Amino acid sequence: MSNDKNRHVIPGEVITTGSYRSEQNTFTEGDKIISTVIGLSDVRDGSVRVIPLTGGYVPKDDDLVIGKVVSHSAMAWQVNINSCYEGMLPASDIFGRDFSSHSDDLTSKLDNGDLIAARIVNADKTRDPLLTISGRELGKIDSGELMYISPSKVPRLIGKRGSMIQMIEGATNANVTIGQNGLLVISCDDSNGLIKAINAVELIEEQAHVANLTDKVNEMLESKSE
Amino acid sequence: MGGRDTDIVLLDENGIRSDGRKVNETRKVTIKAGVLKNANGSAYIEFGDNKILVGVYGPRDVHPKHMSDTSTGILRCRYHMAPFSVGERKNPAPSRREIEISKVIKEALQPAVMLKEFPRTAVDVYMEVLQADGGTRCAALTGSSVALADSAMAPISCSL
Repeated sequence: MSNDKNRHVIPGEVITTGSYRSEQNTFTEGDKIISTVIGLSDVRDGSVRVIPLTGGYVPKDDDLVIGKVVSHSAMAWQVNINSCYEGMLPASDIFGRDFSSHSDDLTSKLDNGDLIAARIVNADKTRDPLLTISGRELGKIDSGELMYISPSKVPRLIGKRGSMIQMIEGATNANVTIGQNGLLVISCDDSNGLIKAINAVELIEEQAHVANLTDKVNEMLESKSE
Repeated sequence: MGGRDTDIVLLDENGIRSDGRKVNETRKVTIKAGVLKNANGSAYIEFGDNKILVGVYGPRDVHPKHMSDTSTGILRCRYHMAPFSVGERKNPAPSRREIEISKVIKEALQPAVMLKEFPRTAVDVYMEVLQADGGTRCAALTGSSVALADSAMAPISCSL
Protein backbone atom coordinates (compact mmCIF):
# COMPACT_ATOMS: atom_id res chain seq x y z
CA MET A 1 0.00 0.00 0.00
CA SER A 2 1.40 3.38 -0.97
CA ASN A 3 2.03 5.97 1.69
CA ASP A 4 1.27 9.01 -0.41
CA LYS A 5 0.66 12.14 1.59
CA ASN A 6 -2.78 12.84 0.22
CA ARG A 7 -4.83 9.92 -0.91
CA HIS A 8 -8.54 9.32 -1.33
CA VAL A 9 -9.70 6.90 1.34
CA ILE A 10 -13.00 5.22 2.11
CA PRO A 11 -14.31 4.10 5.51
CA GLY A 12 -12.56 0.96 6.68
CA GLU A 13 -9.53 1.50 4.47
CA VAL A 14 -6.10 1.08 6.05
CA ILE A 15 -4.30 4.40 5.56
CA THR A 16 -0.93 3.32 6.86
CA THR A 17 0.73 0.99 9.31
CA GLY A 18 3.35 1.70 11.91
CA SER A 19 3.81 3.98 14.87
CA TYR A 20 1.71 6.95 13.91
CA ARG A 21 -0.55 9.03 16.08
CA SER A 22 -4.19 8.57 15.10
CA GLU A 23 -6.00 11.89 14.80
CA GLN A 24 -9.26 13.22 13.26
CA ASN A 25 -11.52 10.63 11.62
CA THR A 26 -9.22 7.68 12.13
CA PHE A 27 -8.90 4.83 14.59
CA THR A 28 -6.26 2.20 15.24
CA GLU A 29 -6.48 -1.55 15.17
CA GLY A 30 -3.19 -3.13 16.17
CA ASP A 31 -0.64 -1.05 14.27
CA LYS A 32 -3.02 -0.28 11.41
CA ILE A 33 -4.50 3.18 11.11
CA ILE A 34 -7.94 3.06 9.55
CA SER A 35 -10.15 5.79 8.15
CA THR A 36 -13.73 6.27 9.34
CA VAL A 37 -14.90 8.60 6.57
CA ILE A 38 -14.61 9.28 2.86
CA GLY A 39 -11.89 11.86 2.49
CA LEU A 40 -8.28 12.74 1.84
CA SER A 41 -5.66 11.18 4.08
CA ASP A 42 -2.99 13.44 5.50
CA VAL A 43 0.11 11.78 6.90
CA ARG A 44 2.66 14.14 8.42
CA ASP A 45 4.97 14.50 11.42
CA GLY A 46 4.09 11.07 12.76
CA SER A 47 0.36 11.75 12.82
CA VAL A 48 -2.43 10.65 10.53
CA ARG A 49 -5.70 12.40 9.92
CA VAL A 50 -8.40 12.33 7.26
CA ILE A 51 -9.95 15.48 5.86
CA PRO A 52 -13.59 14.53 5.29
CA LEU A 53 -15.35 15.18 1.99
CA THR A 54 -18.86 14.54 3.27
CA GLY A 55 -20.59 14.67 6.58
CA GLY A 56 -22.72 16.72 8.89
CA TYR A 57 -21.85 18.97 11.78
CA VAL A 58 -20.95 17.61 15.21
CA PRO A 59 -20.87 20.30 17.91
CA LYS A 60 -17.48 20.99 19.50
CA ASP A 61 -16.51 23.29 22.37
CA ASP A 62 -15.73 26.89 21.39
CA ASP A 63 -17.20 26.58 17.89
CA LEU A 64 -18.92 29.61 16.44
CA VAL A 65 -22.27 28.54 14.98
CA ILE A 66 -25.18 30.25 13.31
CA GLY A 67 -28.55 28.93 14.36
CA LYS A 68 -32.24 29.58 14.22
CA VAL A 69 -34.40 29.83 17.32
CA VAL A 70 -37.05 27.15 16.98
CA SER A 71 -38.82 27.23 20.32
CA HIS A 72 -38.41 28.22 23.94
CA SER A 73 -39.33 26.93 27.36
CA ALA A 74 -39.55 28.94 30.57
CA MET A 75 -35.79 28.87 31.08
CA ALA A 76 -34.13 28.51 27.68
CA TRP A 77 -34.36 28.83 23.93
CA GLN A 78 -34.00 25.82 21.65
CA VAL A 79 -31.80 26.61 18.67
CA ASN A 80 -31.49 24.62 15.45
CA ILE A 81 -27.76 24.54 14.76
CA ASN A 82 -27.88 22.23 11.75
CA SER A 83 -26.76 19.24 13.78
CA CYS A 84 -28.35 16.11 15.19
CA TYR A 85 -28.41 17.87 18.55
CA GLU A 86 -30.45 20.99 19.22
CA GLY A 87 -28.57 23.87 20.86
CA MET A 88 -29.77 25.25 24.19
CA LEU A 89 -29.42 28.93 24.97
CA PRO A 90 -30.24 29.57 28.64
CA ALA A 91 -32.33 32.66 29.38
CA SER A 92 -29.87 33.82 32.04
CA ASP A 93 -27.31 34.29 29.25
CA ILE A 94 -29.27 37.31 28.01
CA PHE A 95 -31.23 38.49 31.03
CA GLY A 96 -28.34 38.09 33.45
CA ARG A 97 -28.30 36.51 36.86
CA ASP A 98 -31.46 38.13 38.10
CA PHE A 99 -33.54 36.36 35.47
CA SER A 100 -36.93 35.35 36.71
CA SER A 101 -39.23 33.18 34.67
CA HIS A 102 -42.22 35.06 36.11
CA SER A 103 -41.34 38.61 35.21
CA ASP A 104 -39.17 38.22 32.10
CA ASP A 105 -40.64 37.27 28.76
CA LEU A 106 -38.20 35.31 26.59
CA THR A 107 -39.87 36.32 23.34
CA SER A 108 -39.12 39.99 24.07
CA LYS A 109 -35.44 39.31 23.33
CA LEU A 110 -35.47 36.44 20.86
CA ASP A 111 -38.49 35.10 19.04
CA ASN A 112 -38.98 31.91 17.09
CA GLY A 113 -37.37 32.18 13.68
CA ASP A 114 -34.67 34.65 14.77
CA LEU A 115 -31.14 33.94 13.60
CA ILE A 116 -28.31 34.10 16.10
CA ALA A 117 -24.56 33.76 16.01
CA ALA A 118 -23.56 31.81 19.10
CA ARG A 119 -20.58 30.08 20.60
CA ILE A 120 -20.75 26.55 21.99
CA VAL A 121 -19.83 26.49 25.66
CA ASN A 122 -20.28 22.83 26.40
CA ALA A 123 -20.82 19.96 24.01
CA ASP A 124 -20.58 16.62 25.79
CA LYS A 125 -23.32 14.74 23.88
CA THR A 126 -24.95 13.47 27.08
CA ARG A 127 -27.11 16.58 26.91
CA ASP A 128 -27.87 19.21 24.29
CA PRO A 129 -24.96 21.57 23.50
CA LEU A 130 -25.00 24.72 25.60
CA LEU A 131 -24.74 28.01 23.72
CA THR A 132 -23.82 31.55 24.65
CA ILE A 133 -24.31 34.79 22.77
CA SER A 134 -22.22 36.99 25.02
CA GLY A 135 -19.06 37.89 23.18
CA ARG A 136 -17.77 39.85 20.25
CA GLU A 137 -19.53 39.16 16.92
CA LEU A 138 -22.17 37.09 18.72
CA GLY A 139 -25.85 37.75 19.17
CA LYS A 140 -28.91 38.26 17.06
CA ILE A 141 -28.37 38.65 13.31
CA ASP A 142 -30.56 41.38 11.85
CA SER A 143 -29.35 41.72 8.30
CA GLY A 144 -27.24 40.02 5.66
CA GLU A 145 -27.44 37.18 3.19
CA LEU A 146 -27.73 33.71 4.70
CA MET A 147 -25.92 30.91 2.88
CA TYR A 148 -25.43 27.25 3.52
CA ILE A 149 -22.41 25.15 2.59
CA SER A 150 -21.46 21.64 3.61
CA PRO A 151 -19.88 21.76 7.12
CA SER A 152 -16.98 19.64 5.85
CA LYS A 153 -16.04 22.49 3.50
CA VAL A 154 -15.93 25.21 6.15
CA PRO A 155 -12.17 24.84 6.84
CA ARG A 156 -11.54 25.28 3.11
CA LEU A 157 -13.61 28.46 3.04
CA ILE A 158 -11.67 29.89 5.96
CA GLY A 159 -8.31 28.82 4.56
CA LYS A 160 -4.97 28.61 6.32
CA ARG A 161 -5.08 31.11 9.19
CA GLY A 162 -8.12 32.72 7.58
CA SER A 163 -6.35 33.50 4.31
CA MET A 164 -9.20 32.58 1.99
CA ILE A 165 -11.92 34.45 3.81
CA GLN A 166 -9.69 37.48 4.32
CA MET A 167 -9.06 37.54 0.57
CA ILE A 168 -12.79 37.46 -0.17
CA GLU A 169 -13.55 40.12 2.43
CA GLY A 170 -10.73 42.31 1.15
CA ALA A 171 -11.78 42.10 -2.49
CA THR A 172 -15.48 42.70 -1.91
CA ASN A 173 -15.64 44.84 1.25
CA ALA A 174 -18.08 42.29 2.61
CA ASN A 175 -18.29 41.10 6.17
CA VAL A 176 -18.63 37.33 6.39
CA THR A 177 -19.62 35.52 9.59
CA ILE A 178 -18.90 31.81 9.20
CA GLY A 179 -20.48 29.27 11.49
CA GLN A 180 -18.63 25.98 11.87
CA ASN A 181 -21.99 24.30 11.20
CA GLY A 182 -21.93 25.40 7.56
CA LEU A 183 -24.20 28.42 7.84
CA LEU A 184 -22.77 31.81 7.00
CA VAL A 185 -24.02 35.35 6.82
CA ILE A 186 -22.60 37.80 4.31
CA SER A 187 -23.32 41.47 4.75
CA CYS A 188 -22.13 44.11 2.34
CA ASP A 189 -23.30 47.64 1.56
CA ASP A 190 -22.37 47.30 -2.09
CA SER A 191 -24.65 44.93 -4.02
CA ASN A 192 -21.92 44.05 -6.54
CA GLY A 193 -19.57 43.11 -3.73
CA LEU A 194 -22.29 40.99 -2.18
CA ILE A 195 -22.90 39.08 -5.42
CA LYS A 196 -19.17 38.59 -5.88
CA ALA A 197 -18.76 37.27 -2.35
CA ILE A 198 -21.69 34.86 -2.84
CA ASN A 199 -20.18 33.61 -6.11
CA ALA A 200 -16.82 33.11 -4.42
CA VAL A 201 -18.41 31.04 -1.65
CA GLU A 202 -20.32 28.98 -4.22
CA LEU A 203 -17.10 28.36 -6.15
CA ILE A 204 -15.36 27.13 -3.00
CA GLU A 205 -18.29 24.87 -2.13
CA GLU A 206 -18.21 23.36 -5.65
CA GLN A 207 -14.45 22.89 -5.89
CA ALA A 208 -13.37 22.38 -2.29
CA HIS A 209 -11.35 19.28 -3.19
CA VAL A 210 -9.37 20.95 -6.00
CA ALA A 211 -5.78 22.08 -5.46
CA ASN A 212 -4.78 25.74 -5.94
CA LEU A 213 -8.26 26.88 -5.03
CA THR A 214 -6.93 30.14 -3.61
CA ASP A 215 -5.55 31.16 -7.02
CA LYS A 216 -8.83 30.30 -8.72
CA VAL A 217 -10.88 32.32 -6.26
CA ASN A 218 -8.45 35.21 -6.54
CA GLU A 219 -8.72 35.09 -10.34
CA MET A 220 -12.51 35.11 -10.16
CA LEU A 221 -12.59 38.02 -7.72
CA GLU A 222 -10.25 40.08 -9.89
CA SER A 223 -11.89 39.26 -13.21
CA LYS A 224 -15.29 40.40 -12.04
CA SER A 225 -14.01 43.67 -10.64
CA GLU A 226 -12.86 44.96 -14.01
CA MET B 1 -40.47 -13.89 -10.87
CA GLY B 2 -38.48 -12.14 -13.56
CA GLY B 3 -41.07 -13.10 -16.15
CA ARG B 4 -38.87 -15.64 -17.92
CA ASP B 5 -39.89 -18.93 -19.55
CA THR B 6 -39.49 -21.95 -17.31
CA ASP B 7 -38.46 -24.49 -19.97
CA ILE B 8 -35.15 -22.72 -20.47
CA VAL B 9 -31.81 -24.62 -20.46
CA LEU B 10 -30.00 -23.31 -17.38
CA LEU B 11 -26.52 -24.43 -18.42
CA ASP B 12 -25.54 -25.47 -21.94
CA GLU B 13 -22.75 -27.89 -22.97
CA ASN B 14 -20.22 -25.02 -23.31
CA GLY B 15 -20.64 -24.06 -19.68
CA ILE B 16 -22.59 -20.92 -20.51
CA ARG B 17 -25.58 -20.05 -18.36
CA SER B 18 -28.97 -19.16 -19.81
CA ASP B 19 -28.32 -15.44 -19.42
CA GLY B 20 -24.96 -15.66 -21.21
CA ARG B 21 -22.69 -15.73 -18.15
CA LYS B 22 -19.98 -18.31 -17.53
CA VAL B 23 -20.30 -20.71 -14.61
CA ASN B 24 -17.95 -18.65 -12.43
CA GLU B 25 -19.10 -15.23 -13.55
CA THR B 26 -20.98 -12.89 -11.20
CA ARG B 27 -23.83 -10.70 -12.23
CA LYS B 28 -22.99 -7.18 -13.35
CA VAL B 29 -22.85 -4.80 -10.40
CA THR B 30 -23.27 -1.04 -10.68
CA ILE B 31 -23.36 1.21 -7.62
CA LYS B 32 -23.94 4.94 -7.59
CA ALA B 33 -23.63 6.99 -4.41
CA GLY B 34 -25.28 10.27 -3.55
CA VAL B 35 -28.36 9.94 -5.76
CA LEU B 36 -30.89 11.50 -3.36
CA LYS B 37 -30.69 15.19 -2.55
CA ASN B 38 -32.78 15.19 0.62
CA ALA B 39 -31.11 12.19 2.26
CA ASN B 40 -27.88 12.49 4.29
CA GLY B 41 -26.50 9.58 2.33
CA SER B 42 -27.85 7.50 -0.52
CA ALA B 43 -26.97 4.84 -3.03
CA TYR B 44 -28.50 3.15 -6.03
CA ILE B 45 -27.38 -0.38 -6.76
CA GLU B 46 -27.99 -2.60 -9.75
CA PHE B 47 -27.04 -6.19 -9.12
CA GLY B 48 -27.91 -8.07 -12.29
CA ASP B 49 -31.61 -7.31 -12.72
CA ASN B 50 -32.02 -6.21 -9.10
CA LYS B 51 -32.51 -2.48 -8.73
CA ILE B 52 -32.45 -1.04 -5.23
CA LEU B 53 -32.49 2.49 -3.92
CA VAL B 54 -31.15 3.18 -0.42
CA GLY B 55 -31.52 6.36 1.62
CA VAL B 56 -29.79 7.06 4.94
CA TYR B 57 -31.18 9.71 7.27
CA GLY B 58 -29.42 10.78 10.40
CA PRO B 59 -28.01 10.86 12.91
CA ARG B 60 -31.19 12.67 13.91
CA ASP B 61 -33.68 13.02 16.74
CA VAL B 62 -35.39 9.82 17.79
CA HIS B 63 -39.14 9.69 17.44
CA PRO B 64 -40.86 8.23 19.40
CA LYS B 65 -38.69 9.68 22.19
CA HIS B 66 -38.84 6.59 24.42
CA MET B 67 -36.83 4.61 21.86
CA SER B 68 -33.75 6.80 22.33
CA ASP B 69 -30.74 5.47 24.23
CA THR B 70 -28.58 7.81 26.29
CA SER B 71 -25.49 5.64 25.88
CA THR B 72 -25.58 5.06 22.13
CA GLY B 73 -27.32 5.90 18.91
CA ILE B 74 -29.79 3.45 17.44
CA LEU B 75 -29.96 2.01 13.95
CA ARG B 76 -33.29 1.43 12.25
CA CYS B 77 -33.61 -0.35 8.92
CA ARG B 78 -36.52 -0.81 6.59
CA TYR B 79 -36.28 -3.20 3.70
CA HIS B 80 -39.26 -2.84 1.42
CA MET B 81 -40.25 -4.20 -1.96
CA ALA B 82 -42.21 -1.89 -4.21
CA PRO B 83 -45.52 -3.29 -5.49
CA PHE B 84 -44.10 -3.18 -9.03
CA SER B 85 -40.78 -4.85 -8.16
CA VAL B 86 -42.06 -8.33 -9.05
CA GLY B 87 -44.17 -9.83 -11.85
CA GLU B 88 -47.43 -9.97 -9.94
CA ARG B 89 -48.32 -6.98 -7.79
CA LYS B 90 -46.92 -7.28 -4.29
CA ASN B 91 -48.99 -5.95 -1.42
CA PRO B 92 -47.07 -2.88 -0.23
CA ALA B 93 -47.74 -3.66 3.43
CA PRO B 94 -44.61 -5.04 5.15
CA SER B 95 -44.74 -8.83 4.94
CA ARG B 96 -43.24 -11.28 7.45
CA ARG B 97 -40.36 -11.78 5.03
CA GLU B 98 -39.60 -8.05 4.78
CA ILE B 99 -39.75 -7.61 8.55
CA GLU B 100 -37.24 -10.41 9.00
CA ILE B 101 -34.89 -9.12 6.29
CA SER B 102 -35.02 -5.64 7.86
CA LYS B 103 -33.99 -7.15 11.19
CA VAL B 104 -31.21 -9.26 9.67
CA ILE B 105 -29.77 -6.29 7.74
CA LYS B 106 -29.95 -4.12 10.85
CA GLU B 107 -27.96 -6.69 12.80
CA ALA B 108 -25.43 -6.99 9.96
CA LEU B 109 -24.83 -3.24 9.81
CA GLN B 110 -24.90 -2.44 13.52
CA PRO B 111 -21.31 -3.45 14.40
CA ALA B 112 -19.96 -1.51 11.41
CA VAL B 113 -21.54 1.82 12.30
CA MET B 114 -20.05 4.07 14.98
CA LEU B 115 -23.30 4.66 16.82
CA LYS B 116 -21.51 5.28 20.13
CA GLU B 117 -20.33 8.60 18.72
CA PHE B 118 -23.91 9.86 18.53
CA PRO B 119 -25.83 9.03 21.71
CA ARG B 120 -29.56 9.86 21.85
CA THR B 121 -29.92 9.83 18.09
CA ALA B 122 -31.21 7.48 15.41
CA VAL B 123 -29.86 6.54 12.01
CA ASP B 124 -32.53 5.38 9.59
CA VAL B 125 -31.73 3.25 6.57
CA TYR B 126 -34.50 2.87 4.00
CA MET B 127 -34.02 0.26 1.30
CA GLU B 128 -36.53 0.25 -1.53
CA VAL B 129 -36.41 -2.66 -3.95
CA LEU B 130 -37.53 -1.27 -7.30
CA GLN B 131 -36.96 -4.45 -9.25
CA ALA B 132 -36.30 -7.88 -7.78
CA ASP B 133 -34.52 -10.79 -9.42
CA GLY B 134 -33.22 -12.90 -6.54
CA GLY B 135 -30.52 -11.87 -4.09
CA THR B 136 -32.15 -8.60 -3.09
CA ARG B 137 -31.16 -8.83 0.56
CA CYS B 138 -27.45 -9.05 -0.25
CA ALA B 139 -27.74 -6.27 -2.79
CA ALA B 140 -29.69 -4.15 -0.28
CA LEU B 141 -26.99 -4.72 2.33
CA THR B 142 -24.22 -3.71 -0.09
CA GLY B 143 -26.19 -0.65 -1.14
CA SER B 144 -26.77 0.28 2.52
CA SER B 145 -23.08 0.22 3.34
CA VAL B 146 -22.33 2.53 0.42
CA ALA B 147 -25.15 4.85 1.47
CA LEU B 148 -23.86 4.87 5.06
CA ALA B 149 -20.35 5.69 3.86
CA ASP B 150 -21.82 8.48 1.74
CA SER B 151 -23.56 9.89 4.82
CA ALA B 152 -20.24 9.81 6.75
CA MET B 153 -21.89 7.66 9.39
CA ALA B 154 -18.62 5.81 9.39
CA PRO B 155 -19.18 2.15 8.64
CA ILE B 156 -15.86 1.00 9.95
CA SER B 157 -15.42 -2.21 8.04
CA CYS B 158 -17.30 -2.00 4.78
CA SER B 159 -14.25 -2.22 2.51
CA LEU B 160 -15.55 -4.34 -0.33
